[in-house]
Amino acid sequence: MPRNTEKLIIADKQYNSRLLVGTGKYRDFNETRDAIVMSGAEIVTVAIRRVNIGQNANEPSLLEVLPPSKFTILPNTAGCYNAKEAVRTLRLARELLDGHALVKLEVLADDSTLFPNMPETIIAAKELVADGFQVMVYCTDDPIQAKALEEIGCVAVMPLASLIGSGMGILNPWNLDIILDRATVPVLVDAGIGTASDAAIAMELGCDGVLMNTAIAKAKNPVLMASAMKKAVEAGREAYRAGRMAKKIYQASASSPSEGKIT
Amino acid sequence: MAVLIHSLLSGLMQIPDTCYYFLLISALIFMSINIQFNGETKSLVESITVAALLADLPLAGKRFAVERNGEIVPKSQLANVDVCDGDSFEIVIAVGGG
Repeated sequence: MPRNTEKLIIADKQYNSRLLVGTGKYRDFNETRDAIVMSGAEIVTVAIRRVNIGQNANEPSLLEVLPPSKFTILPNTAGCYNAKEAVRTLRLARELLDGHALVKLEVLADDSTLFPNMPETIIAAKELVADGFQVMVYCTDDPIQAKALEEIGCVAVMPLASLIGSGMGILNPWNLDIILDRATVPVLVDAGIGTASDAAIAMELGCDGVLMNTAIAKAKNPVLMASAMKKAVEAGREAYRAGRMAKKIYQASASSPSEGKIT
Repeated sequence: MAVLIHSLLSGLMQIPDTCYYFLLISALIFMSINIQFNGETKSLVESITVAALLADLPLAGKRFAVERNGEIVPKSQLANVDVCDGDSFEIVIAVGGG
């Protein structure tokens, strides 16, 4: 599908930034806020967890640092290993966010790879879509599964580039290419980005956006990396829209004219 | 145990099967209200509302959500729902995550 719309559109809402960021693994809320503001991201993911009973009432909460009035909060189901847990978590998130419907579904299969559990993801996606959620879904880079999720009614599919938090970059651009070719909903690379060039490659492939957390939060200077990622996503998108030159594998082509050389 | 006593009493005395009578009977036979609260067991000496149950938590002015026995309790209903023996509560907030 041609993906030449000027702005990222998810579930009929338009966004200026194609970079989506997570809010985990930062040193403190100041660093979280500074990095996220620098990234220019408008959509930020959060996890849903039990309130800490011993917590100090005066300590700020994440949603005071990143208010829903300024950011699109994307609650996710990280840590859920079956459809039931994931659906339960997102119903709590919807209540917490006053009926907000846009969510990130992520059902994990295994705690050492954090690979998507696709059978449970499919079950949860069906239930959530039927319940009125707008589901952005973390999935394998399998074009058949991605298409199945789209057909269920997910508003975006988000295949992994490589394992969550691994920083290994895009391991299978060919599969992403097939997913992009077939999808009619936005395709965002979620998980595995390590540095700016990985994000640029995802965008050059034609992805509609990139979601990352660890690549920024665990950089030596997260705020500077957030700035780099912002530029990489923008540069990759521009390169995609500009249309790259054809690769010529065995034949060089001089940039300078062959006529008028001194003899 | 409490459920057993309740079913025996309601069977014998034809008491309607409501939370209110359950709590009344529990109090009459000097039983406390035992609940699960974010995975921990908690005992209450008297019947209170869910809103009262949350009063001691650091939630003032913050966004949170409450689930009781697997069902969401809407914010608008927190002051109207009573805590019953055997209830299981989850109280959640948003935290940093990917």
